[in-house]
Amino acid sequence: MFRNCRRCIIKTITVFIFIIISSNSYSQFRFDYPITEIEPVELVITYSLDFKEDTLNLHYIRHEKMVLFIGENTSRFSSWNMYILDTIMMGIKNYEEYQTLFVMADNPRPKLFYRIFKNYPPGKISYFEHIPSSTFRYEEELDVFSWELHPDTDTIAGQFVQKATTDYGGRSWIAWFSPDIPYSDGPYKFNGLPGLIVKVYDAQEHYVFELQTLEKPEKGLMIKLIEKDFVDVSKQEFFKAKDSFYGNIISRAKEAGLSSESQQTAARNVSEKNNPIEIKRD
Amino acid sequence: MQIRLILLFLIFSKALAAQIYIQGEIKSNTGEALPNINVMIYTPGSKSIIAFAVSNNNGGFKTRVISTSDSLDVKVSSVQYRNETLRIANTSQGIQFTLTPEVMQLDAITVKASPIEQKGDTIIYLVNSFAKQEDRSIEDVLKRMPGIEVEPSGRILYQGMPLQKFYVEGLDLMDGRYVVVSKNLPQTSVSSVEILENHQPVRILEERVASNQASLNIKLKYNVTVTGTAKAGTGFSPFLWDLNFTPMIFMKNFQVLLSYQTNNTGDDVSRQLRVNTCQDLIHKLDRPSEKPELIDIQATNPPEIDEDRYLDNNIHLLNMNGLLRLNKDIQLRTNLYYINDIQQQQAAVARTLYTPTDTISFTEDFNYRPYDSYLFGEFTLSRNVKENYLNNEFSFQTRWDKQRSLIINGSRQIDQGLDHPFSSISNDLRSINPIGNHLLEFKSYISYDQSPHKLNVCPGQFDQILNHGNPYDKMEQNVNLNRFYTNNSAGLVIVWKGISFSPLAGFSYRQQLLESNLYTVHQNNYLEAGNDFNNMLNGNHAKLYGQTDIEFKGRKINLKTRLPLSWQLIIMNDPVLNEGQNFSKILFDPGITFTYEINGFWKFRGAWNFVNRLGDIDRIHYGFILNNYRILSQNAAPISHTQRNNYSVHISFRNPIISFFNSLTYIYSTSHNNLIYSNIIQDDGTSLLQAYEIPNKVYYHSFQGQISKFISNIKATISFRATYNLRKGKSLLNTRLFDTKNVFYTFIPELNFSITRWVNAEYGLNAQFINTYIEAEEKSNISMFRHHFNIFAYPFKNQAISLSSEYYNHQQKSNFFVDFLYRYTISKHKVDIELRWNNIFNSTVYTTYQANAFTVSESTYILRPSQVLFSVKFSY
Repeated sequence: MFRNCRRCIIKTITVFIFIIISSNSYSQFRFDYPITEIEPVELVITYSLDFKEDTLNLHYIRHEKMVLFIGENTSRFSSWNMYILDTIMMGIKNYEEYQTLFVMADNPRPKLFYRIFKNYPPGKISYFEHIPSSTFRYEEELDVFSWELHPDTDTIAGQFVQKATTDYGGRSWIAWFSPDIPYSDGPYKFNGLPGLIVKVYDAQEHYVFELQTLEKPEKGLMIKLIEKDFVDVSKQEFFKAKDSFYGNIISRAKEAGLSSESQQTAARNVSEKNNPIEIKRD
Repeated sequence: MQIRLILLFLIFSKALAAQIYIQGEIKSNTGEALPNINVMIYTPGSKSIIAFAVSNNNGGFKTRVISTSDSLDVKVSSVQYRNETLRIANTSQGIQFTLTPEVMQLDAITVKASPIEQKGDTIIYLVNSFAKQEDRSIEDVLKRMPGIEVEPSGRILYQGMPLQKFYVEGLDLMDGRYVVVSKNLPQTSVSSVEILENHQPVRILEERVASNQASLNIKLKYNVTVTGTAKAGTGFSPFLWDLNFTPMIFMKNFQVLLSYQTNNTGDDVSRQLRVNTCQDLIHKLDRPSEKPELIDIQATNPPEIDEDRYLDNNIHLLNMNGLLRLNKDIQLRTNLYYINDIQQQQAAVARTLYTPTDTISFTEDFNYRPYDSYLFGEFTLSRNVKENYLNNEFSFQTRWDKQRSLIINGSRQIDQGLDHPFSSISNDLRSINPIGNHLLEFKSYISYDQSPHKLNVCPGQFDQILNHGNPYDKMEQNVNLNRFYTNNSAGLVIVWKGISFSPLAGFSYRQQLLESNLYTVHQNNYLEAGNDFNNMLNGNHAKLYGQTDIEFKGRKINLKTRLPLSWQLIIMNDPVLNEGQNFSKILFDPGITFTYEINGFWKFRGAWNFVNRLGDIDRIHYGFILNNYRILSQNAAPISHTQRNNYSVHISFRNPIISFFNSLTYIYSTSHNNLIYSNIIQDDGTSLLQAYEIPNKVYYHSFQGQISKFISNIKATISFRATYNLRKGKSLLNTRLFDTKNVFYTFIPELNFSITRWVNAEYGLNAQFINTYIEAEEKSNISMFRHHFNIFAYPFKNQAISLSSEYYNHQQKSNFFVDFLYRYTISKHKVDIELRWNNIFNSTVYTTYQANAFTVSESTYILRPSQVLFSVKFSY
């Protein structure tokens, strides 16, 4: 009985802690943010991205499917899985569905977590990325790229393309654009050429975007933005936050309740991500 | 560099040739200025653009052109208007365009993908076209298939998304633990791999709940495939073994995975049996305890250090998982486990009990030998069709547990023997059926269990009470408890204007019979101890319940209330003792949680809930029961009823830009209990435990704060956590009612740092202080310090080294542990070689302290000696 008493206390405390934890996790996971429908999508373009995240292991090429939604005035660019995740999130009606998605089942795993909106607000590129536990937003001028045209032409993805180059984020970029597709847009932040960018890569070929498909959307598809409580920062502050998250990964993993072995795995994984798309951050 | 020079040169020379500006305006035929129109300048006959501009919001454009050509072509192009081209002379000038609307039709483009067959939502990869000679398991080939990725843990991703289900010939044998199959199934036995896109495994949800996840199905070449994995380890001292042999058989309608595991290295492999999802925890709260423990052998609680430091075991585990397809829609899955484990534990416990006037101390030395043997089985029948979903899980458990314990209590030596058999059957049904536009989920659980337990204690104790003060040979306590329980519920989810309601209703019923009697035995002469020591108790507990959750969500504010209402009826009746009780009440347990996100960095949460908790009817018995050699207990009081108010506030500031994280939590709770347990301790340490109806209150305060900062220039994180817990209540010891207070403080500073890219280290201290107060007077204070320092290194991709050390100082008694691990992976042959040296400095005992109300105990455990283990893991 003596032991039973103690067991009873332990059980009570366990239940208690459980309630606290569940209510705690409840507040952190939100799915019911308002959604802004910006405008209808006119064109859906997917790009493949081949990238090398580890400068010490350049043979290891990672792949990610990326998607660009173009509307009349604005566009949205992100990883395909990020788009799927957003779509699922927007469809969730209650906490149970949310749990089903994130606790019981597995969810899509984008490798790149950013969303880029161009000309939204007008004249700006808005960059959104979640660094646990806040979603950050910074803005850049839309006309940040000064392109230099080259006479070289080629055919890529069945399209007649012309070469243009620019320097951005500490890399020299080579873009091939199609004058026949008169959208002044492209993957990542790239824009400002007289035609859609079909392929763009840096001189070292660490990041290579290439068009895979281009098609009209299903009727009614909108460019949407989940209006979280964004933390508005400058570009420099954003990179500072990202660098310190990576540098601090063991503590952050520990805080999230991962085992010692998983913490070490996380640290190893992060040390293999040492080659970001933008090296120079001004 | 060279290219740049040439370009520069070209530009320079052309600039010499000519530099002109072309500007202009673009309007629609209705006179509207047109922005975002591309203006491209060509030299006639060339396809290369030499200059371009995009019209601004006023329809204006301007561009600089450097060309030697006499004339230029200016082309305007857009999606909404017809393209126009104008030839002009190569001189600076302004031009006007007036465009007529015409929507440009773009043809769809698809770059040719890899030649993989696609039928609707199913993509088929032929294994032959992807496999290479060195590939062994299907996992190796999956890594090569476009769109499929395999994580180091073995988890499989399709288009970056984890698989939802992993089938072999459409059968899901392992339910999420598929890695054991994907790593071992030889690729040569697989003909193709199918990816089922947008796969919804519960078919009734197919057209209601869209799935974005994919599942994978393995198609086999042969009718029968046999494969498996094995691990063998050995070491000293004493002689150690660790074996794991897992063969598997796959057929189209029948699949089996067997596993035999045995070790004496302190690894409790029976843990694999425990399922610990949150969902399970919630369900089990209301169910009868998994195994009733009315009587036990007085033993110690396990220490809080790693199990493999002290667990002296000899375990054998046999596991069989089988899946049989009965027809197209119905599957039967069987999971059987047999476990046999002989353990030994040696410990010494010194217990001190404080009263306002007295301090009572006694010590016990244990030599405890549990012998566990049990069979556990689960049969799952599922029917998964478009019209409905049904999953029925039937399980049974039979245990033949025996325990022996030799106790030295002062000058006395006591031998205890416990027969602890247990058998249970249970059935868990879940179904989903459509009702109009909503889905109704129905759950039903039924269980029945039996526990005929027997405790022998030699020599007999409590001779004042049981044998007129004369010593006697032995006492024997028999207990037989039979329990029946059922719980049934139905639930819906309704969403209305942003507020969601989740109504749920159900009922549960529990019926049980407790029989017990106590014998004193002297010279083989069995004597019943008398009516006060017998029980024949009929217990009934019925519950009708309903619950609605209501949620309101604003942009920054979230409010959730939970409104569970239940009617409970408890009837207890012991016809022999002519005792019993009736309890009937409506209980309401409301709760509310409020969350406010002040901004991206600050968050606030407040919660309140009120909880009624009724005691387990297992705990009521009007006659005395010998719980163990030194406790005789009786609970003739009404059912225990605790009413608790919980309040909590939490505030956090987390700024990731400067990597500075802080949080504070405060919890306050009060409990009103209707019962108190009276403990009457005799001089020899034996005690009488009885429940009395004396309303009393328990207060609990808890305060927790933490702070962490990353310092980027030295790549280190410093964190500090502090907690304060206080529990205040009343205790009844030797007929005195007095106040007790326990205070716990902990301080945990930690430091993490990277020495190089492949070496990480961490240091932490956990300092704990426990104070016990009786009637506001401090009776005991205990301090415990636990330091740890670990280094992890990965000199090469296939090698890992870790060195971990712990230093404990508990009340000036210290322990030092150092462990070393080296792992080498031969990835080509799928072989892992591991060398582990635990407890290098051969610490032999470990002492720790616990405090509870008026008791402080010091427990000393015998540890496993220093041991070296070498193991090899491979698949065949």
